[in-house]
Amino acid sequence: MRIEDELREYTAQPSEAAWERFRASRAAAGGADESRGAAAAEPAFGAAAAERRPRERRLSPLWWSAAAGAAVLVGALWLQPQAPQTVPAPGSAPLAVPQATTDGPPVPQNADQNAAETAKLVPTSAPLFREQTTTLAARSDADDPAPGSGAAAERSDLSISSPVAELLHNTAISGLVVAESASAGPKTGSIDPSGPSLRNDEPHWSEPASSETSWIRLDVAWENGNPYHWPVLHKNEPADLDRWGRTALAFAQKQWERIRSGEKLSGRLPVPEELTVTLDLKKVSQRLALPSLNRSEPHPNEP
Amino acid sequence: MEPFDELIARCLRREPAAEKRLYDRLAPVLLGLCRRYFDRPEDAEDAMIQSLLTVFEKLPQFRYEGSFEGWAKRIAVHTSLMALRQKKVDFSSAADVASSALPADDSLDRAHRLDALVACVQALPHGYRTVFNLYAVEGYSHAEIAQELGISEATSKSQFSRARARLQVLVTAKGLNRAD
Repeated sequence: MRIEDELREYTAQPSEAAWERFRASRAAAGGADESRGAAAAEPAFGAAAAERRPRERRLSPLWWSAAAGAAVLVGALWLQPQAPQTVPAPGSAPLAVPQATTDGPPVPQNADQNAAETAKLVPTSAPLFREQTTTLAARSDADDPAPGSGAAAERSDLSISSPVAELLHNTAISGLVVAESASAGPKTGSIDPSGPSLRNDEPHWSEPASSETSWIRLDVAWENGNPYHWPVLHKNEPADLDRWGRTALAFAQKQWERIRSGEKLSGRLPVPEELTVTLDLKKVSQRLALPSLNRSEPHPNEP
Repeated sequence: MEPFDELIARCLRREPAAEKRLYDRLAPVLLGLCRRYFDRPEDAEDAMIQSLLTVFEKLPQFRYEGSFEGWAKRIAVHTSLMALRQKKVDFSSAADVASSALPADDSLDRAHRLDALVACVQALPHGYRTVFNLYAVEGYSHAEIAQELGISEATSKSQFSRARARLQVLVTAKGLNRAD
């Protein structure tokens, strides 16, 4: 047998202390999530562990798809035609959301009110948090005049039917509507009093001066339709929820601004009148209920 | 012996007993590997522990496309090289290390013989030793070694050639080249 073959078979019994050190390092690193803590737990190889971290930030396609679905949903909500339409929610009643379906202008909300309302509307039904196929129809209601913006101003309300509504109201859709409202009509406030004001919490936000107020009407209904498969929009880190949310909202905001500026969007982003999206509502709620929108990070796929 | 696949599955479910069992299976193998790269036993054990932490951390990424032990060994090699780099080892240097670790016993059984062989490898200069391990034992090509260690391919070849010659001298001197 050659020496190198013998060397290949060589084993050595580690000391008992080695096991204890290994266990302690694992524990210090936080068990299943030890990937970040391993470096700190093993100072002799701190640099080695730090070198590994960027590689661990690679994304799996599943995460990309989940991110894309919700991000495009955001954009689609802003891209709906203005013709009023109704999407009934079978077997569901309108959600009692303060100011949600009123014809009048939205009332400005401050951050405290928003937080209080949000706390009241936290869903209590755990089974609701599962993957659902939901039909969403977002549109603007041009019939209603917007205060301070003239007859041509856009107007929309939040009209969500339960039981989906109660869930969505506190999760992605609520956040998106609030995001749109906060960005598009800050002078008249949010149409969704339950959601957090993104503008209030985003120091980097710079709102283009505009007297026009805009709303989006959002109806939600269950439907056993085919899920719509959206393209991947952004490769984000699965663990970086804040960046994910900011990217999604930034994308939606960009699209919305393009529409408002009169630019016609075609081709890349579909504008369905009715949108069926399969999404994990729990994940979306975790990601999009983020009161931040950093416009300094434009979406890389944006034209 | 429990197959690695089942052990991995249990480890992914965070079963402490399975983690201990996987540790017990891998630790001797990886420590043996690390010993070939470090002349100080404590350095080798450090590298072994770090390697195992990485293995456990990367378990969800193991694709069952090859030998699990081979996969773990590659991690250990990589970890050892990183540790050597961190120690600022000059892989192109031929500076000697202390050879006091060489065994003096001439009548060696197999286990002792292996220990003695490893001691001979450990007695090689860092550059020789690392290149020898990577090329002769781990099966890296000189191009891969050059890239991994940041040296030229020619340096890798010359280091290996010298390492082999030096090792032959050491092995002969200790009467270790009698085995088949």
